Amino acid sequence: MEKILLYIISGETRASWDRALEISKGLSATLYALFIVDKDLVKTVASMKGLDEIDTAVQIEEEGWKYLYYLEDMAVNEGVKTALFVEEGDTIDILRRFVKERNIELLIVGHRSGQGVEGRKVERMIQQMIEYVQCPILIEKEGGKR
Amino acid sequence: MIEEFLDEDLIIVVDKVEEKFTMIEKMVDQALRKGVIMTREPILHKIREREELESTGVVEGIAIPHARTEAVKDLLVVIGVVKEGLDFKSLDGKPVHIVFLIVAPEEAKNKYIQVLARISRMCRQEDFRKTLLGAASPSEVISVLEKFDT
Repeated sequence: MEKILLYIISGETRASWDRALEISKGLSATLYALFIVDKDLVKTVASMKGLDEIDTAVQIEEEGWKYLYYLEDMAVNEGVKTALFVEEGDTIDILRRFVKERNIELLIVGHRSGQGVEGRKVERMIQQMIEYVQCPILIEKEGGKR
Repeated sequence: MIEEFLDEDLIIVVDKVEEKFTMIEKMVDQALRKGVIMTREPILHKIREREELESTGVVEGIAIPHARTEAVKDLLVVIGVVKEGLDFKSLDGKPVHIVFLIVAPEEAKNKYIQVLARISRMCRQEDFRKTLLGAASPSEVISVLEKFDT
């Protein structure tokens, strides 16, 4: 296995970061790390906070880059090759395209069980991921078992 | 935020460079000449080590080689402009015209990541890239960065 993709949802999914680094190192694979500025999330956050959508997207993107560079820092210490990406749009469409175009062999995603609307949204996104993304997916349950 | 790390003396403009490490050496040497760093080899070694792991070329003509090393006392940003473009072995395969060299010690890790994130985010904006690539002098480079650093 040469290409592993870690989809970074937030800084709270660190167990998936560790798992991705461990597997990439073990297999000498390149770790692709992807953060997505999801258009629906931007709309929701902007509306909740009463902010402009463009400013909100900028803030979310910059936060994403920080996660990516923190991960990269950890990867360098582990001697793991990394490539960082930020994309903007619909999460499932981007993941599907990214996996296909780059011949990703394993997608790793962290999942923290949540309640209420937010929890259901993540559950739905993971269901769609399983349905549409054409590669094996490892869902790392944060703070628990896989 | 970035403007506090910018210095006209730490911006070099060259017409042509054949190899990415030659450009990085020129940038480190500029910092050495200006007395911002005391030694060049540990920095070059760290950058080379990082670049050998994976090229840090980002997108559309801009590269951000970076590393952490105790050979610098504080976060250092050196900017290089290569007018004719340079093969940086970047993922998109396009020639690089602007190089941001970012080096920081361990204790400046958070600041280092913030600056990397800000520059990376700015570099994804087409407007920023076009304006920056059109800058003809160090002072113009700084003006562009200040304008987009919001």
